[in-house]
Amino acid sequence: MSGAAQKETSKAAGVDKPTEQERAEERARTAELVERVRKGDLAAYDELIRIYQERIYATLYNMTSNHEDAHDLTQEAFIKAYRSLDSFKGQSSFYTWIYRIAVNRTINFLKKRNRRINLSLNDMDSNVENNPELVSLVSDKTPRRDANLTELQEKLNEAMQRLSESHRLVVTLHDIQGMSHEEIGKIVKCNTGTVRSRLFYARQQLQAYLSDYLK
Amino acid sequence: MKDEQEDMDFEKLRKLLELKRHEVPPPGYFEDFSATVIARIEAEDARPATSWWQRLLPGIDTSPVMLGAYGVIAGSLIIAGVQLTRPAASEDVLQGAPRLSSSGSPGSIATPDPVSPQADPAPAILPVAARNSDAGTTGSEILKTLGNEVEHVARTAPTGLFDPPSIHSTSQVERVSFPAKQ
Repeated sequence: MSGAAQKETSKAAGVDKPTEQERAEERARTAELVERVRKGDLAAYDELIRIYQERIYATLYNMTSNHEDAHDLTQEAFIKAYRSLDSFKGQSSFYTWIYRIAVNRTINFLKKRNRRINLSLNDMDSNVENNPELVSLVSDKTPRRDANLTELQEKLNEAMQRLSESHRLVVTLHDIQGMSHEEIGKIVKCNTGTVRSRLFYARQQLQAYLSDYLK
Repeated sequence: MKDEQEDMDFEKLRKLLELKRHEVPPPGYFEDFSATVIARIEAEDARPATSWWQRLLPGIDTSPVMLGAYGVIAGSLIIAGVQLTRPAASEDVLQGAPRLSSSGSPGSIATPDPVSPQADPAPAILPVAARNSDAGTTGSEILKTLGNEVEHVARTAPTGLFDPPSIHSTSQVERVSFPAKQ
């Protein structure tokens, strides 16, 4: 995989780790855009959406395992954030604040949806075929050699949906989105110890559910 | 260090979870995404403001919980209203009782309300004690004042009011007989 393609893939999944300088630039740019939005500039909000839409969508998609739900919830999160912008005091970063809105709405949605699991999965991008580690997971080292990537994807999503919302969120943000414990703690408003403990418990459960694929 | 150890324990799982990073929406999916959000915001802004009861009705239609909540609120308001009006009503009833006149001499009794001539004058004595106790007077002084009040009332009362024959007639008491137990 080329460097550009790799960057594109990780960006779509929201796992690219920006440097400290990039983070500072993003914070400054976001603060400026937020001020413009507060003055009624919708074009500035359009730019803010473009900065965060893929990361928010990816998180909500992994929380719901449903493309349509993730789409609607992402839109609603941005609308809610726009309406609540006056309450954003800048004590946390805009990134953390909007993530919190999106995640809280999604958890409420999932509680209402209860245990009705309706998977509507996105296709995997073509890069997955070029990832030798992932290909080996389904072709060589598992007892179920007939398993293909699509089947594994479904099993993985089913296992994710069996976790509680709080555990699924931590796994999504850490193991899929690549966030640090500290960042997750700010979003879910708990300390890093709680994040670690939830992550450990969630991984244990996933390991039990997916034992056939992890031998 | 601790993070690395934890990650090592779940190395295979982490690799499996990485598979989810490749689940992406179709190409071009986000091209119109922000435009759609902005359009929804503008559409909501352009919508005419609805009155509070218009916002209430859809909630009742779609959610029995909302209906129950509205019922509880309405019931609470009615109970609160009844509780608030009750003390006022009892004050109105007490207004019929005679009371000491504020301009008269100490111990004088106010004229009873002409609307309720049957009101019992006895309660008018109680404020005398209360008034004297506030002034720091001794118990014997209060009793003396009360005695004067009683004497004054007895003098001015209609003849026979404090001398009903039934009280002094012991013959009526003697005539009472209780049925014997079987």
